[in-house]
Amino acid sequence: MSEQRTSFIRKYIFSTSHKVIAIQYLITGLVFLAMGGVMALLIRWQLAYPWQPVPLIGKLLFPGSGGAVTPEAYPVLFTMHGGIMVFFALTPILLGAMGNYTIPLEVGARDMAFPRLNMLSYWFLFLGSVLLIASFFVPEGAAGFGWTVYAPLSSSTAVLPGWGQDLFILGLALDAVSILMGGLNYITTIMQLRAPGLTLRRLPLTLWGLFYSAVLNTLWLPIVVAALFMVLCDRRLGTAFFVAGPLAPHEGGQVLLYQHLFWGFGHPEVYILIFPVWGLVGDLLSVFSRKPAFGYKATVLSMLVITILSGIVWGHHMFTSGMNPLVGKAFMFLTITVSVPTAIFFLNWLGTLWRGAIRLTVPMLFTLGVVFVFAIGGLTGLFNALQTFDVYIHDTYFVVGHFHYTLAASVLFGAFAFIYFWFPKIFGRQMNARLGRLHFWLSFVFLNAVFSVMMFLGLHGHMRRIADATAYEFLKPVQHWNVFIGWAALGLGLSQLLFFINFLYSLFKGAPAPANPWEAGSLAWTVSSPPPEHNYETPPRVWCGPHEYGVPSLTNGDWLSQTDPQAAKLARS
Amino acid sequence: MTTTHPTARTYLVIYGWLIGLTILEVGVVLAGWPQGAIVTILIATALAKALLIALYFMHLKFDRPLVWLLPGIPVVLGIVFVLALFPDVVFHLVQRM
Amino acid sequence: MDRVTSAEVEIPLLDIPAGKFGMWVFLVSEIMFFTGLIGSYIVLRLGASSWPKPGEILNTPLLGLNTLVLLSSSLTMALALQAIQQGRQAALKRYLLLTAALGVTFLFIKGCDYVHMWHKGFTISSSLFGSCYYLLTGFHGLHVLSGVILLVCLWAAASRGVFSAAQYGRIEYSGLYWHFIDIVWVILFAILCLV
Repeated sequence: MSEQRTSFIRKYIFSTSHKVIAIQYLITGLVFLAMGGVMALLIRWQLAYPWQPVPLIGKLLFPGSGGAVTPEAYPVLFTMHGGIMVFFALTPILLGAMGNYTIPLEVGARDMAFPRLNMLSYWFLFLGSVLLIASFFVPEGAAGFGWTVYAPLSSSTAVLPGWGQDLFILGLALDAVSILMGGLNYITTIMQLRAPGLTLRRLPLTLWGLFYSAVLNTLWLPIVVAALFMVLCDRRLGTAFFVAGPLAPHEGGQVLLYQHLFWGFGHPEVYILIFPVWGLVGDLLSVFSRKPAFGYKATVLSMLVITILSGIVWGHHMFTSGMNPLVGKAFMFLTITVSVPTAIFFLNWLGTLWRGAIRLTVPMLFTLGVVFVFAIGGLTGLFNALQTFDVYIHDTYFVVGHFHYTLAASVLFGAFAFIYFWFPKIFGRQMNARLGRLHFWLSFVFLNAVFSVMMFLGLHGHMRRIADATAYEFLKPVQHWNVFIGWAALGLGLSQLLFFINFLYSLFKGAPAPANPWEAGSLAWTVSSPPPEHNYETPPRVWCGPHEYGVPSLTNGDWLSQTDPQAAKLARS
Repeated sequence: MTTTHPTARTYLVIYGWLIGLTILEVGVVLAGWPQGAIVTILIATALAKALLIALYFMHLKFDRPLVWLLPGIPVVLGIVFVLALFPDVVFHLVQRM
Repeated sequence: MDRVTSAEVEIPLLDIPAGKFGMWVFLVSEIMFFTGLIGSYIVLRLGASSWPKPGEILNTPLLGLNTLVLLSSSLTMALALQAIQQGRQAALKRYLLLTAALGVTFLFIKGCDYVHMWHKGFTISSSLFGSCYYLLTGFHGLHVLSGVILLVCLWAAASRGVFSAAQYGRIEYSGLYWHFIDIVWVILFAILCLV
C-alpha cells in the first residue's frame, strides 16, 4: 500500500479490509435485529389484545384501522419477523461479522483469501436489504406468505398479487449470493491460509463452527435459490412448477416439490445458524473455566457428523404434508440419530466446566445461558422428531417454542456472547460489565418466561400464525397466557435497550482495552486492540492449541499463548 | 501445482471423442431407435462426455485425488437428494397406505 | 496471486493455490444449484402423466450443432491455458478470443432458436415441458454469458501482459468455470433436449 492516505470512502465504505467489512455486517445485523424485535412485539400485542390499537406507535404504523393490527398486516408481521431475523439479523451478526472478523486473525493471516470478493459479499447483503425495506412501501405491502414462502400461496399472483412478495424473494436471493461469497472466503481461508504450526487440530472451535456452517451454506443455499426462482417464474412468467389442478394453466407441476426443495435447505439452515455458536461456546467455556476444551477431537468429529446428517433429515418439517409415511419414518430415524453427536459435544461442554476455575464475566454468563437454553431447545427437538407426536404439535406453539429456544435463545445469546467477548478487540474499548450482567439476567428471565409458556400453549393445541386465539372456543381458557407472554416479551424487548445503550456508549466512552483482556490463548489475542491494519507484520508461528489453560508446569500465569515457544515443550498438543 | 500437463494432441483426441459421442447421440434420436435404447445410450454418452471434460480439460486426472472430493461431494449429495424426491414427486399417483 | 497471505503458510488442506481452491468451492455451489433445477425437472417429468417428445418440438440438428460449438470452445479454452503455460502470449490471446467468440455463437444460435420456437407457440408457459426447457437452458445461457464477459476481461488483461508461464492462475480457474458450463450443457442436451 502506498503512503498516500486512502480516501474515507475507500477506507470505511468500499473497504476490502475484513475488519471493516465485519463491522458493516455487525451494524446491519443489529439494525435488523431491532426491527425484527419490534415486529415480534407487535405480534405479541395482537395476540394478547386482539384488534386493540397498539399503544404509542399504532397510529403511525396502522393508520387505516385506528392503530390496530389488521388481518392483512398480521401475516406480513410474522413473515417479515421470521425472514428478517434469520437472514438479515442473525446471519449477518454470526456469519458476516463474527466470521469476517475472527477468521483471518485466528488463522494468522493478513486478510481473507479474496478481499475484493469479501467486499462484494457485504454489498450484495446491502442490496438485498434495500429490496426488503422497499417491499414495505409498494402497494399491497410486504410479503405475507410466511418466511417459508410456501407454494402455492407464494407462487400464485391470483392470491398474493403484490410486488412486495417478489421483492422479498429477490431480497432473499441477493442475500443468498452474499452468504455464498462469504462462505467461499471462509472455507478457503480456514483450509488454505493457516499460519505455520496451525494444524487443524490446533484450530479454535469457533473457526470449526464457522467452517462447518460455510460448508452447509455452500451445499444447500443453491437449492433454495433454485426453488425461489421457480416460485418467481410461477408468479410472473406463467409457469406452474408448484401448482396443479385448477390453478395451473396447463397440467402443472407438484406442490410438495416446493416443500422438499425449501426444507432441503431449510433444515441445514438452522444448523448453519447455530454452528458458529456451538464453536464459540466451546472456546469461551474453555477460556473462562481456565481449562482445556474437554474432548476437543470428539467435539470436532461430532460436529462433522451433524454436518453430514443435517442434510438428510429435512422431511421432519413435512410430517403432516401428505408426504410418503415410509420416507417419513426414514427421516424420523435419521433426525433422532442427530441427538447422539449433539449429546456428545454437549457433555464435552459440561466436561470443560467440571472443576474449572470459573470466571463469571459477561461473555461467560451468555455462554452459560446458551448451554441452558440449548439443552431445553435441543431436548424439545426430540419430541418434534417423532412422526407420531409431531402429528399433534405440528404448526402449534410447541414448535414455535422449540425453535425460539434454539434460535431466539441459543443463537441470540451466542451473538451477545460474541459481541461482549470480541468488542474489546474490535473497537479497542471495554463494554460496561454491570450493564452487561443486568442485560443478561433480565434477558434470561424474560426469555424463559416467553418461550417456555409457548410450549405449554402448543400442547394445549394453540395453533401458530393465527391472529386471534379468542376466535376459537377451546383456546379461550388459555388466552390469559397470551397476555402473560405479551408482557414478558415487552420486558425482553426493553431489556435489549440496555445492550444498545452499553454498545453505543462504550464505542465512544468505554475504557481503553488491552490486547488480551480475557487472557485468551488464540492468535487474535496476541495483537493489539484494535489490531494493526494488516494484522501480522510477519506470520506468527504456532506451537500449541488455543486452549492451553491450567498448564501445571508453568511457574508464572496459568496459561500459554499459541505463539509462546515454551508451548513446544510444555503444551499437550 | 502438478508438473504433468496434457499435450495439445491429448486435448485434440479427447475433443474427437466428444464430437463422436455427440454425433452418436443425435444419430440414434434422428434414426428413431426404440425409447429404451435411446435413454440408455444417452445417459451413458452424457456421463462419458462429462467425465472426459472433467478428467482432461478440468485437469482432475492429473490432480491429487483429494481434489476430487470437492466436486465429488455435491455430485453424490445431489443424486441422494434427487432420489429422496422420488417417492413423493414421481410416485405421487401410486396408491399409498 | 496470493498477495494477502503470509510468506510461509502451514501445509494447507489441499496442495493447490488458494484461487484454484476457491474456484472449486464456487463450482460446488454451482453443482448444487443445477441439481436443484435439473433434479426438479427429472422428478416433475417422471411424475407427469404425459410428456411430449422433445424431437417433435425442438430443432434437434440445430441443438446438436450448438453442442459442437460449445464443445469446441472447451477445446480452445484448454489450448489457451496450455499456450500460456508455455509462455506463448499471442496464442493465449487468440484462443481466449476464439473461446469467447464460440460462446457468443452458442448464445446467438440459442437466441434465434428461442425466438423461433416462441412464435410457434412453444413458450415458458405453454406446457410443463416448456417451463422446464426455458428455465434450465435460460439459466445455463446466463452462465455462458457470464463466462463470455469473464473471457473478454481475461483477454483485456492478457493484452496488458498480466499473464506469463509463471503466472497464469486466473486463466486456469476461469477454464474450470468454462468447462463446468460445458458439462452442464452436455447433461442438459442429453436428458432435456434429446430424451
